[in-house]
Amino acid sequence: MSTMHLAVVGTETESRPLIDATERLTGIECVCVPHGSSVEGVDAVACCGSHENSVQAICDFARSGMHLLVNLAALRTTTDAETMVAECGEADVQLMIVPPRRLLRSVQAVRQSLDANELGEPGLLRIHNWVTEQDEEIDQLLLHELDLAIYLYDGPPTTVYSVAHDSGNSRHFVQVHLGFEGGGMALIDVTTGLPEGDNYYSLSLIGANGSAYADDHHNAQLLYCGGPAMAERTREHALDWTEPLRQFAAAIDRSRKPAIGADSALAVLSVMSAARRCVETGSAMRRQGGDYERV
Amino acid sequence: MSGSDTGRTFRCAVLSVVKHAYVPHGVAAHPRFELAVVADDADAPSWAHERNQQFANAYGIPYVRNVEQAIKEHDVQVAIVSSEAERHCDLSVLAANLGLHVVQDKPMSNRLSECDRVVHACEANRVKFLLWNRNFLPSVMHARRIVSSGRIGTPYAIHVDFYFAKDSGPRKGSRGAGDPPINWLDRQLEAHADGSDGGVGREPMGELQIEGIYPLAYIRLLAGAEFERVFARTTAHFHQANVDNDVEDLATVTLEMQGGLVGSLCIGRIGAASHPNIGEIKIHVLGSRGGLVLSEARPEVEVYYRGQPPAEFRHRRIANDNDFQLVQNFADAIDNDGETILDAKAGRAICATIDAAILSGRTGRPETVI
Repeated sequence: MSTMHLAVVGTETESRPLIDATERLTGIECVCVPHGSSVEGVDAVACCGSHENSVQAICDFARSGMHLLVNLAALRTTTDAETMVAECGEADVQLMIVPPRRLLRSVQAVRQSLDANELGEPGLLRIHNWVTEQDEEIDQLLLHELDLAIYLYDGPPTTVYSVAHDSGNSRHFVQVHLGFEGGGMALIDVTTGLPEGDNYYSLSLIGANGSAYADDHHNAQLLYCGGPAMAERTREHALDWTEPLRQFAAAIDRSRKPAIGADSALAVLSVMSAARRCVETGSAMRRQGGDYERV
Repeated sequence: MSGSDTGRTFRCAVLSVVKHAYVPHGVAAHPRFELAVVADDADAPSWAHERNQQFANAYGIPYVRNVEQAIKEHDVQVAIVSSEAERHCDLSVLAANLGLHVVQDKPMSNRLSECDRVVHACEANRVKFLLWNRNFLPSVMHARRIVSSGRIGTPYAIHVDFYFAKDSGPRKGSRGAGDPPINWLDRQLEAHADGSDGGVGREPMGELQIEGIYPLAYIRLLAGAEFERVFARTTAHFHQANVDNDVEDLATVTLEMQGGLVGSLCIGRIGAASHPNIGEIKIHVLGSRGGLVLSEARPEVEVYYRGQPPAEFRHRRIANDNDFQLVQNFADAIDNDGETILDAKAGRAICATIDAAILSGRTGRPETVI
């Protein structure tokens, strides 16, 4: 395998997990570039974060002949994804859209348990993701969790329903209820309404033969400094980008489509759009062809 | 019936005690309640007579095969109803019309019209009604205190996970070609041995009907609001008995409540392999100033020992005086002409929510709670 020269575009915080991954792999030389800077002399670009002009910038990279590793968070609509796919196709460069939540160690442990057929057919996925206002936008938060549902069920939902709660003019809570082929279901709630401090995350998957519970509540440690005990979480390590980066490098080297292409991004953006319409109309949506229509 | 003589002992008629008898046991454990008689209809099936007689023998009280006669002849003030589900309301109405206060096992009924009859009978006869529930569990009371204190601000979303990690007969897919479908009542009678016969009755009931009262009562208690609209997904995912009888053992419900509150319920009889204890039962509350994540089982003590039976729970709940508090609440309501923590109207409201959820599971649409 020849050496791949990779530009990692993003803030220090956004880029760090990916840079760490490059250090664990051979054959990748990496430079870090802030958002908005020009990129030259590299084979590929990794866009780690989500910014309003991300799609335009990514298309510019494609037109310059650079292969692209993109964080799902960079996309907001199916049009974004379609535009990106078209540009990459025209420029004949590889496009890999990575949903970073899938890279969490806890999610990987659940996925491995499913793959090993320990849990049986999944029946119910429950996710709570509560963060503070400063941490993430509500839509981005939801996008990642919807992707996890599609990932763990191996396909898009057949039914979507959603409710939301607003504070003033700002939406700070969304709950999405999904139904899958064969009777499986998922309930996901996300909020950006926690006060400043720790976030909370919980994912449980109930299968026909067993269940997996990945819950910050279970991983809380106690700290005594006078007054009521405080709960502190022993955190998972940072997202592990090693495997997607290895797959990306291999796809470029062998000129073949990456394992995670744009299809899953298009699917999750379509569900996201259906969820928005549920909140607007108060109706449930059912999958018809590749889109969702009111029930 | 007036309860002005505070502190008196209430004599109770146990009307049909055909499933695991946690309700009459719970009432009998309170010092102000005394079991006086067990009664059932003469035409009850033989297995019901047998269980009634066993219970009466255990308490050294008579078993009378005529409900009205038993009530009239034994100077009772309270009826404890623990029959098959479809008879719950009929027995409660009969007792209320004879002037008795009523403690009734869940589910309130599998028919909303029956719940309406109970509401009317209790109002018309000015008697108190308590639908058995778990709202006095230490953790639920803890959640209520935190919410009431305002520490997390005004609640806007409440979620409950209510999984019972129990098996319920043969696994889904185990029925052989040519085997008859599992008869619901036969399965429930068989389940009596391990106390998992919560769905006793001739008509099959899914997990929403059997256990939905508990988590929905938590949400109602914490929200202080009624359910208005629901969207649900239901399926028989684990057990052949549920598949054969077209009732769910797994369900999820989106809840829309008064005042813009939202919430959700995940409920299932998910199989003994899915959790080392009774199951993951959790309450999540989001408020304008914070959030609360709470395990319903706590406080608990973990006990492990050599030779421990595989089915024995390793975590044992402690400090649980839910039964006593429920019965005390019932006595207080009688003494002070107050309301119980889950009266007939509240039980009816929960029953209506479950009905709407089951309907939504079939239609695929959100449904209004009537």
